[in-house]
Amino acid sequence: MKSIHNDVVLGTGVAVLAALGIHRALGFGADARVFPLLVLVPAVLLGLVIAVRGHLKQRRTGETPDFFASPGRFALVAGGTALALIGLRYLGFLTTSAVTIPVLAVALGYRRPLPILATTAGFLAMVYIVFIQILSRPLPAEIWTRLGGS
Amino acid sequence: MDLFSPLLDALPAVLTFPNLLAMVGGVLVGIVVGSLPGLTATMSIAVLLPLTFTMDPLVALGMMAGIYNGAMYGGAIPAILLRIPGTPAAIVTTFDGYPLAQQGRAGYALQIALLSSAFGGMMSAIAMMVLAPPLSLVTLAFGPPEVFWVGIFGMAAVAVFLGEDLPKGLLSALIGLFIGMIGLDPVMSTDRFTFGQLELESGIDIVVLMVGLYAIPPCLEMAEDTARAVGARIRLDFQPFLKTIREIPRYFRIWSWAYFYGIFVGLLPGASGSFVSFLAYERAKRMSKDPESFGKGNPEGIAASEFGNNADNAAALIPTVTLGIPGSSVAAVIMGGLLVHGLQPGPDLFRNSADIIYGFMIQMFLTSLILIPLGGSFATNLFAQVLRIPRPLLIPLIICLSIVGAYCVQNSLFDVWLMFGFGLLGYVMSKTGLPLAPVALGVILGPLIESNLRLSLLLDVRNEHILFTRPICMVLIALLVLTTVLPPVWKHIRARRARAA
Repeated sequence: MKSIHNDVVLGTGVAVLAALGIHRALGFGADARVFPLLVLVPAVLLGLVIAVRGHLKQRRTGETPDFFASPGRFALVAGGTALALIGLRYLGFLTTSAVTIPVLAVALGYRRPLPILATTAGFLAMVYIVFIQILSRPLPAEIWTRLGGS
Repeated sequence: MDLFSPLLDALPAVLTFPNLLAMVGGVLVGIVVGSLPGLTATMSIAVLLPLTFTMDPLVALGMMAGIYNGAMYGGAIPAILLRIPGTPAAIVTTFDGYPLAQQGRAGYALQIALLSSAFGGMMSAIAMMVLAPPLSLVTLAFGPPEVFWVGIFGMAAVAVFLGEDLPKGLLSALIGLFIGMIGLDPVMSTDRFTFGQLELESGIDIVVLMVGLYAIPPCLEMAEDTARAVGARIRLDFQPFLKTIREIPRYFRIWSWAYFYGIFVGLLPGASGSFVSFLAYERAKRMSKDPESFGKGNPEGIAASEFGNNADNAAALIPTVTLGIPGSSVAAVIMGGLLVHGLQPGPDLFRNSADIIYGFMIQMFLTSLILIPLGGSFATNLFAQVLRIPRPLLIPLIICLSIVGAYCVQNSLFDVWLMFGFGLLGYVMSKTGLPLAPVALGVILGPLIESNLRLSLLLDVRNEHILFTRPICMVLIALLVLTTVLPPVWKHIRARRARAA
């Protein structure tokens, strides 16, 4: 299968999204649409320039640079972060961190339990002292506090 | 003599034990807060303001000065070690700080950042002492048309960053300007690109954007880099501090320009230290004999950025204390602190409470000075140990720190998802060669440019083209043309000469 140059995908994607933005901006009031149009119209043009340039470069050199260096590891970290964000709502920040840090570290190939536990504990202590105790920032409620309260 | 006598009068009160303690404590808190992404000097001063109600006004102001200067340096620590700018002003520090850390010279990068921050802060305080009343008059001459051109000038300065690939650099700037216009528009409050999300109406917070854009992509790239992912450690390479101090003369020229920009921008309401860093960095790159090394670990880039963003610390307070117009968000909070203690900013402040306001100027100087021993011995050595953590363990730590940083901005889970979205955007940009810096500057300057453009058009009721005919505008346009046209022309001439030779 013939692969597509990254710049072709990037340029085309930007041009299409910017064109959709222009369509939406035309619905704004007369004053409010001026600046969006001043930004989005050149974005369409630049997107097309980058796409065409990428296509010509690919034809000239035959090169198609890889986008992912390691798709599996990318998916691991991106997926793990997404799961942590979902967990944040239900488990609370400290609990989510207590799970995320060791699980991701082990999944990425680090297998020394003591440093993992010590680092996780140190991080949780730092967050608790600085964010919760000193600065009184309300972090997402921990699951155990909700269970205890019900 | 008129200048020095009020300063000398205020000095004994500044040097009392409670005052010194407040300044040292403030600097320590500031360094810690600045080094934690999502926590800014503005936020920490605002949070700690109620604690100062019962304090003597000068002690309270000493603490605020310490937090302010400490936080502005603290932002450089994660910027250098992790490529996460601790404060918006530290974005530019990541450009050369992080590559230098990757080369095993994190300790040296932190020392340069510390000295540049400290000297920038001290020079800014001196400017405040000497120039406050006359310079504040200059700001009165800057209306919307002039501020618009200052913003355009800032964006044009980014064009110099673009260097290798002009279309991609311009596209990055446009992406930044687009992100900056999400929310209610600044003049008519029209809902733009919010897609019905209430959380987006107030716009994208710069902290959320930059944490996502700068913290998440390195995690994804570090994870992908399997060779470095397991067991790799980075050397810190601290050289003796005195040796770094002896290198200071090397940075004088860069610091001078950063100082000029810091004072000039600090005086303009709405502009900020992050903007100064961009200008100072661009200037340093243009002055360098080796501009290609910028962005790859040139310590001059760190010196320009850190001196610049600290040079506007006290300068931003000049219009605050003399006119009651805050030059930045931190200045606005400090103005709140002055009001809480019954100190009404304005010319009367210098007459009725001279000991306090001049004492505060001395505190701004001293807290920058205190930064050197405290930052050098405490924070730099302590925080630099972060790089000793193995990468597979560092990745989830950065992710969790980014999450708490983004959440703390507005206590919003929506912001955390937004941060992750910007992280993925940053990853795509990084992989396709789109520079990240113009995005950040576009978001910072976009609302400033748009609101001043529209205000200028509204003010131009007699169709006098005030955007182009006012004297300061004409000077700024001339500078803009010189900045954008001359470098490529000069580059072309040099290339032709080189070919001819």
